[in-house]
Amino acid sequence: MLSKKNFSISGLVLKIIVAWALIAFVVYPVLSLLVQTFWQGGSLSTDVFGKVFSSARAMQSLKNSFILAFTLVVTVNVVGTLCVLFTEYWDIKGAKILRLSYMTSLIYSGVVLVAGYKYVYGESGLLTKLLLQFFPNMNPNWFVGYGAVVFVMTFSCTQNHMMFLKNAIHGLDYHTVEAAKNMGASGTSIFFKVVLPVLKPTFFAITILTFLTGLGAMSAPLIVGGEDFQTINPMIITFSRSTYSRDVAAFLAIILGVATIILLTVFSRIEKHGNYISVSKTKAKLTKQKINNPILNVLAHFVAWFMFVIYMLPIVLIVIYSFCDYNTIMTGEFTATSFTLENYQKLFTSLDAIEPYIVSIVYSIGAALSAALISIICVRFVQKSKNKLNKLFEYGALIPWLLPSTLIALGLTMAYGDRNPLIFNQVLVGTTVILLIGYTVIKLPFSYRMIRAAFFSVDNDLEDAAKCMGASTFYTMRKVIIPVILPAVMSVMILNFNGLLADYDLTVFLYHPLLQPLGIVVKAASDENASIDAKCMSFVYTVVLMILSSIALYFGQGNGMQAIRRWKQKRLEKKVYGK
Amino acid sequence: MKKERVLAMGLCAVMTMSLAACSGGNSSNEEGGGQLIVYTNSGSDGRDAWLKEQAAEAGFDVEVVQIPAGDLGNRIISEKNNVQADLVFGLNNVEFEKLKAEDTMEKWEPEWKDEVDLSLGDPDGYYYPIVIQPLVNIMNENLENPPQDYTDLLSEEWTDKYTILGFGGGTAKTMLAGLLVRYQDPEGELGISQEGWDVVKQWVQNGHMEVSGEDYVGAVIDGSRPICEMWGSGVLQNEEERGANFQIMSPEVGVPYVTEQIAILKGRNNTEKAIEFANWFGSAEVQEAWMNQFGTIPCNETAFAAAPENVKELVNSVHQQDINWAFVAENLDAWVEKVELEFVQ
Repeated sequence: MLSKKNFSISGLVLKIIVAWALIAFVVYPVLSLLVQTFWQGGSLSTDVFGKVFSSARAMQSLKNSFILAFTLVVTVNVVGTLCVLFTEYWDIKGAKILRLSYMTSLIYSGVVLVAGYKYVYGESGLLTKLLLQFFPNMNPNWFVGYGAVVFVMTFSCTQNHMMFLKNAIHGLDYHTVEAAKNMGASGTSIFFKVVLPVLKPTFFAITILTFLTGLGAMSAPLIVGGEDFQTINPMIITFSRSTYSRDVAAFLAIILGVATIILLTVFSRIEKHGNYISVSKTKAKLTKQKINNPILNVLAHFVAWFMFVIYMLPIVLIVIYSFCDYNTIMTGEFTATSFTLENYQKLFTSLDAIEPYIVSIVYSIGAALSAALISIICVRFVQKSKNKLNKLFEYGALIPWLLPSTLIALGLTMAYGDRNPLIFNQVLVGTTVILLIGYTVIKLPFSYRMIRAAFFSVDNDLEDAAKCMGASTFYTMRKVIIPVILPAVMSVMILNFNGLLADYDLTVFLYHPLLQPLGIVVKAASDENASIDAKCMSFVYTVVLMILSSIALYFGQGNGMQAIRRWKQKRLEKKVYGK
Repeated sequence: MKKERVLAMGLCAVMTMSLAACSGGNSSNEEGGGQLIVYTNSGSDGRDAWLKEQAAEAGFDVEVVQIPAGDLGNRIISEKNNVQADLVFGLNNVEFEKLKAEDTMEKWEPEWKDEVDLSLGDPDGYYYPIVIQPLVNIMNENLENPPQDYTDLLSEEWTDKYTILGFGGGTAKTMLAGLLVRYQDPEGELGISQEGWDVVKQWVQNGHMEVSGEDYVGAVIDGSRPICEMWGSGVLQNEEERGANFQIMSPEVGVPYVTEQIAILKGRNNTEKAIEFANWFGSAEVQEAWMNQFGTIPCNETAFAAAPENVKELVNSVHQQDINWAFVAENLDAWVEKVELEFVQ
């Protein structure tokens, strides 16, 4: 009895702390931003409706954002699933190399990624130049508009598939596949009737993420969208920087937010109806499937390696360009004098130059950890408690999806620019913690959603068994549940880490002036107003970030994890034999 | 059971620690300390490191923090209650007018105020001019029959022949203001007459809006889009780095001069030291070195007298447009919003 009581007290304390954190750092800042934006002079300001709805440009951009989001849901799911199947499920020659190339979408993004595609398909790009030799009459500026944006984003947004779908496929119980085979099922029906249903929760989560990525598209439409295909997010970012236009930014963001809410609700409903948990107590490892039909087999190999080329060309060009001078990058004409190490020399002019890396790494790890921790706790609260009120934890964790990070940062600075009783009369602006809070907040929805999907693969029986044998909640969590969801949690943390490493939009409002993170330094160095070298430097920084992200991937996925496990094993042995 | 308690206690500890960190942040500005924190939007390209080094030689311990212009203003306003920087330089009149409205600056007087044209700065004495940037349209060297003014660009002859920079940046905003203030009308929408709005609409829609990542200066050099907006030091820098020559459009009314200003922030204990630093930084000697190092155009007349020929040539080729900055500061964001929502296609 006593122990039961103890538990509920500490559980309650934990609940109160998390609830307070969500209210103080997620709900309150967002609310205070919205109130200050729309509540002007004691009444609700409605000018913004007229401004937005009468703007043909805003409406067209909004429409384009939705078109893009729906298109990407289809194309990214197709390409992303193929990526995973080629490397993990079917037996394709050279799968290891393919996997590395498909994973490039995990280590770079944004402006430079799109620039990389432009250097292949753009006006003076490699492929365009090649095509012009065969079809001299073609328009060199063909890679523009809806098609170009969809193409770039389809191949650059498959990172969630490469992380989570891969994990899910590895979590598959091979016994089920074998059983189906023994009963005479064909490869196709095994795939659609046995494999896919187990992957459904992951597909739902990834589809939501893809939809959001499409709605929030920024660099691709800006650079290759041309005049006909601009999306809404660049406008939101520009307007949110100006005090006067913040209402327009917030209003546009809310429109996107409402769409997000509708999508989330629909998916939650669908998820509830299906029970996709299929976990046996003794799982068999997945064996790669041979494609028996020779034509399909050749076709699969062809597509897989064709995708390899699509993935590799931009990144290879970026690495090459990072060693080139400005004129080469602009014209795409290589000469003997094109190559230089000068760009890299500028990277480390002094010892001070290392500091931003450390600052960003520390903040990103801190935020990745705390976002994952809070998400796990919230998912447990929502799943384990019968009280409907606990559902509020889910809404709390998902709120940051409704606003772009610029507005979240502004919300935090507005809420805590002065002493506030909610955080015991402290001022947060200008301190070192506010950036950590900001980073954690913007990564919370993604972490929550992915970890929630991972919890679907936790078998309740395992948990009950542990409890029956007298394990405490915390012990069960640590020894039974965490190991099952760990691959997904690690993936979440790595993606968060990589995403935060060079963040600019949120960072610029919240960082401590004496602790400059990488995003600020990169922006200053690659700012076009700064100098002509800026273009070169943006490539150099991208390469450096790619290296950092790859290291994170290495440790978080495969090999690094094994190393940690081996170390744990050794420690255990020491403990046992030491005695 | 113990472990849950440990977890809960651990969480509590983290919270307390983070709050302790906040209060730590608060106390730092009360102590003052010796180090000056300088905010600037003009610190890229190695300027921050250079300034730090030179200041150290002159006996100042400074940290230079580079933040892009639009974000810098927002940041200073949000830090009003926990001020992080001692002084700020590089922002223009419009941004400083906003800071003034938020009561974030100290009134002061630099030693070098007789060496600069005070009409470029603040009549109330909060901020003082350091560097000027004439904002111009550069044109291809060989462009025949070049337009003399923005208003010439509205014709079909120049359709899609000129690049307008993105309105997120300072140059484009200020050049828009330079065009709009010619049509000031207290009765008109946002203080501008209908004629003014028609002209701006035509100007925006007849031209080409910058696409991020494109080489608009290259387009001027190779003549494919021979006209483009450019800030003063950018003109000189591009001429030098790309070995090009540009024609400069010089409208009769003049061109907008953006003046980078320096000001002391309120709420720190280092005010005297900050003023000392501002006196040093704005002095003829330092401004001359700053000019020679980074190609800026100093407001300090003694420093400007020593300017290289190309700098003098640029400055002499144009003259300053008469602009009421307080009026611009009050309306600019609304103007930009209207143009972005209604005119840009």
